[in-house]
Amino acid sequence: MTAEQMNRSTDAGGDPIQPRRGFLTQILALVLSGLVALLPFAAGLLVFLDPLRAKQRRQSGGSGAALDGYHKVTRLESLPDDGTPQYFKVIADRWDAWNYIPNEPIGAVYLCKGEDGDIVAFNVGCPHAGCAVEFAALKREFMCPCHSSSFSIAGERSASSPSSRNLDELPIEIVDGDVWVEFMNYRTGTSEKIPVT
Amino acid sequence: MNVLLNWLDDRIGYRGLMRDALYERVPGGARWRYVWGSTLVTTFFVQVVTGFFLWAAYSANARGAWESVFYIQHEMQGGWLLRGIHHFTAQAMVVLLVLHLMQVVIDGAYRAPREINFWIGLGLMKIVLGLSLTGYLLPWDQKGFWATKVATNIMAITPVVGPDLQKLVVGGADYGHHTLTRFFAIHAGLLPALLIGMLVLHIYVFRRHGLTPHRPDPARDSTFWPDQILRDAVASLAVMAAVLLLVLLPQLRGESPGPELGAPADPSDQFSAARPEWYFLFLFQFLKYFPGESEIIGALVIPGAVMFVLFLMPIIGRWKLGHGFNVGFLFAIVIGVGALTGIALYEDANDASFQAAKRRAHRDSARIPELIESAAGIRPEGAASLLAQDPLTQGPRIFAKQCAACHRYNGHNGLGTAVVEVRDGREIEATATATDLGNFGSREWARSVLVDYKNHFTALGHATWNGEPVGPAFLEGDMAAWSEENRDALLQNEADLTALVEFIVAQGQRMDLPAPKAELVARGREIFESGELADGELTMSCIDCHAIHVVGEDEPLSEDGVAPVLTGYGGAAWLKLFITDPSAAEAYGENNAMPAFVEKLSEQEFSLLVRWLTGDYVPTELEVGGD
Repeated sequence: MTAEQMNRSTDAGGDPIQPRRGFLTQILALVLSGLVALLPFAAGLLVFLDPLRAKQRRQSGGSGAALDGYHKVTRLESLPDDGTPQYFKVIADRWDAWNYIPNEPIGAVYLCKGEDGDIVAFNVGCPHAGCAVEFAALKREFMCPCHSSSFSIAGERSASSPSSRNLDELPIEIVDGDVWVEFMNYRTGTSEKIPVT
Repeated sequence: MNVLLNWLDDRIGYRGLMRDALYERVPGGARWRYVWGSTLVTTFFVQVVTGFFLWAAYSANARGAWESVFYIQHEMQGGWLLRGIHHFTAQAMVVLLVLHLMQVVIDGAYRAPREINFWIGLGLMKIVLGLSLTGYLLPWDQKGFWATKVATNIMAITPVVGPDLQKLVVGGADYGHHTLTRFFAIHAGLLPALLIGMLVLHIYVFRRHGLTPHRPDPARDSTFWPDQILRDAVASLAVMAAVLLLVLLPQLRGESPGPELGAPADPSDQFSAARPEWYFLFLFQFLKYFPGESEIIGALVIPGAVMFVLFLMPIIGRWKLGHGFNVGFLFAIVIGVGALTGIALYEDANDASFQAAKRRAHRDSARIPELIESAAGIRPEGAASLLAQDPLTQGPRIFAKQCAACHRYNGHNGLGTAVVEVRDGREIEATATATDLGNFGSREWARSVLVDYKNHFTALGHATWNGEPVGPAFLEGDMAAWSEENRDALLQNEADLTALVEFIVAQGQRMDLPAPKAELVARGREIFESGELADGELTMSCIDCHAIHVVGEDEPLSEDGVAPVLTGYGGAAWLKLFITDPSAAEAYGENNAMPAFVEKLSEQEFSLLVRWLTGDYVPTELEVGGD
């Protein structure tokens, strides 16, 4: 072992018991220094890994208690009959580490009214990498400004899109002429729709 | 494997480096007295590691610093432990620094050719003290805020550049966001970088000259690894064990884990518990001896001179008696610092108002988690506003300022301090001139008013109003007479007395008192109206004098009265009416001697005071009522 060789070379002419005692000392010195070095890392990593802990998620409250998990976005009248998607912010009470922030934007949706009067909601995030898609009025399709994924007005991806799935549709409810959306983000880059929790 | 290591060694020469690092000769063998430098390196390493992880969770802004530290301490797993290690290792470093310095001076390790390394060491000491000072502010709690404010104000007395220097450090004229960003940049960036640079130099120069052997014995020569390292590791482990013990102490005592986080900084609060960290207490105490303009002598000139003598030690040490002088000087400083610290602690321990302020600070600090819990989180404006709107902590402050000149609260001023006045040049406990409100509106209160009126309001006997005594109007008035005439009858009909008390207390609709029992209240109402007891009757019924609209009833029971109205007696609305305008017809009328507070208190102060006195606040685990 190199260390021992070196030890011998510096300890030239030491008594014969020296190496064995030296070995025990070495092990002890190593273990004890290791313990001291470990302590701050152990405490630090505990804190650093806190986000991975399965926490009891504090529910972000909606802008009304009528529908649990849903957020009121707009009135029915504000959606044009020709199906042109409209952009709306989703406002909710939000937890951010130590802060509880009432009425903050937590994301945005496109709402489109179909010919049959049905309403569809899309999360504005592109399923490819999460940029907010834009609606190109001329082509009547959704375009992602980042990597040029494109989606039909019904949210279907075009064959050449880097995105591996269609725009993420969100559940909606209509209550007394108000449009409520259950807002959720999904993991990007997957062909499956997996909610981010 | 060996091939790979040889390849690496050919390129970076790590074997030589390791040999130099580990197999340094320790003349005379490894010794415990050489461990101090190494424990300092260890503690610094611990601070860098824990500091990094704290950094990853800390927010340096005036509305988020305290809040993020609160979150680290109370919400993140192991946060209190991490914060505790950083907090106490910082203090351990200061202690080790002093020990290291003493060992170096006693052993004469500053002598040629080690002068420069001694000076580097002094520089390192300044940096560590700078780290302590800047770190103390970062939690942005009351303690750190006020203590650091003092420190930066002292900085401003530096001749010529002082005020500008202060502005640069504080980031403007006032404490705020930029104070924190700057302190944080200095604490986590500049000072550690400087420290690492100078530490490398310090160790390099130390290695160049070797240890200063204490009574060397060539037969026992040894090497740094493993003999000295083992001792260093044991010493470092002992230091960390002591730190861990200090971190765990509150938990072992059954208190909230981790080092205390004071209440969030509030520049408007009268925070009388401001003290620097314990190892700066001597400077704090020292400043007390320099009145007025001479402050600069105590704050800068003398500490500067002491540092200068320390700096000169390698040169002084060349003279025959120099070393003796150096050791003597250092001991004198250590004893002086110890004595000043002792005096500071002794004076504080015997200062009743400081002790009360400290208790209040601990109370605020224990209260704030309850408020955050109840508010379901901290709003973006920060946590300080939660405390500022809390009746339990703010009510007593208003009481002490506005009410305690006459009233008492369980014998004190609401904040746990006796009310004093100066007479013949001495401070003596002042005589109360109005009733003690400690149990205002409770069953005991109502009972005492009924059967022991004169004693209950006896303090009024000491009051005067426009030169006239106030006492007679109350203590010799109709109610006092009624109480005396009916005491025996009421006491003989204990059940009826209880019922009457229950009825009166029910009027206040107080949530903090045990709920009134309906059948007792009903019976009490009968007595209140008729004055008829199970055995005998009252000389006059209550409604003969008092107007009242019984709670929950459509019609008033009695509309006219010559005595104070009892509608909602003991509740928030009643109390507010009496504080706003005590001389109103519904209140004490012309008998009144209490000043009207309608213009003295803001709407918010009224609400805080009244809600405190009527027990309307977020429930608490703290002791209520004070000592």
